[in-house]
Amino acid sequence: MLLVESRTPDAFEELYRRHAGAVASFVARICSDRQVADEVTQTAFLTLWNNARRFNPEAGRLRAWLLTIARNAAIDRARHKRVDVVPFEAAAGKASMQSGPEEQVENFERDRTVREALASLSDDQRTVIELAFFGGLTQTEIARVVNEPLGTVKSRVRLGMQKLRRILGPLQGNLV
Amino acid sequence: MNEITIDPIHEDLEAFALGALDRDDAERFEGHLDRCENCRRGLVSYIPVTNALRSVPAAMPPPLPAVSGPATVTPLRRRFAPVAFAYAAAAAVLLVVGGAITTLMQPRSDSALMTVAGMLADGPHQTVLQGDGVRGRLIIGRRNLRAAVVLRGLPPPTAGTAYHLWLVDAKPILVGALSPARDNLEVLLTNKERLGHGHALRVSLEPLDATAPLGAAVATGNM
Repeated sequence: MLLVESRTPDAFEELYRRHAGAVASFVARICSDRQVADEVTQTAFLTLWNNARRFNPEAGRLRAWLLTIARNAAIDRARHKRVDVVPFEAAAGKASMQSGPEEQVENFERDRTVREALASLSDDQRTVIELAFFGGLTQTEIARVVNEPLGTVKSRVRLGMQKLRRILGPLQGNLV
Repeated sequence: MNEITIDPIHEDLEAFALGALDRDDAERFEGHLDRCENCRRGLVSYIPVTNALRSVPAAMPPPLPAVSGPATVTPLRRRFAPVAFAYAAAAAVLLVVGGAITTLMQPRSDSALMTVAGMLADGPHQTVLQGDGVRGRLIIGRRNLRAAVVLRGLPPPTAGTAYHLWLVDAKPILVGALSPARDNLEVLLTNKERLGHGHALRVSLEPLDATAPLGAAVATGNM
């Protein structure tokens, strides 16, 4: 909270260091375009910088606030087109360049299966699971971000995970 | 007609596997895991899911936006996010112990390793421990008070002895004794507050009543 209130460039950089990875990873799940994702991530932090006094720590963690801003910004950008759950693959591309051909094929197949599994969820289920896993939020925090009752979020997490298990469970031998 | 009531805590399984329970709820569910075999087995069934989610590449954040003039903020170098490192490290541990976890159903080791599986699902902090032919990790839960050490490659302890974990500070502090599990695994669950001081870890074979490390270090790691 002190970092937010101070509004110094050093504090801003520290906040960015702490939270930008999670925000970018979550945004990457809901923006199919790398440039848009980067803009959305930066928008979230600039909003924090410009509206630091509006952040109420009693209402939740800063990360949840940032993810709320990022999610709204991403939805705003995607409002006129279907949100594509297939993320950009910049990081995957870098990783695959460092591995051998067999590993690349395995990675490709695994990534495709995971993407298809996530795509099989309803938008609501996918959102809560991505906010939890990629954004690091708890169910209570997610409920605030998506503005839904906690019970609804719990139900979406449970049903979404059960569906992912049906699809990804048989891959245990390859993934563990 | 009699109504069958089911403890609603079972419904927290998926959120626990996902690392989405609030801290108090996560600790309550960990306690529940010690008593509920169905949930322990359920947790194992979610390892492929959380492992698959970890395999999704973490996005690199864009450069830090300038906020107050060109001279005051320098863009950060692009790098992998910390969360990506944590996930990769967790995945690496699963490669080491995952196969064993999925087949371990012996009562003595089952509970501890199921708890470790739950901790791994939560993107924990980890420290490498290694020795001659020995590999392992110290795993510190992200949202709970637990810590665990899992080691592979140690010969079975002789009668009346056990592998002990020591926190190396001005003088060594005993953290606890590890318990043997299947596939040459040695496991210790402890409270992470016991690891609050010290700069290194050391594992050695000692008598069961050891109060100071006398045996040679079989694995070490830096905090």
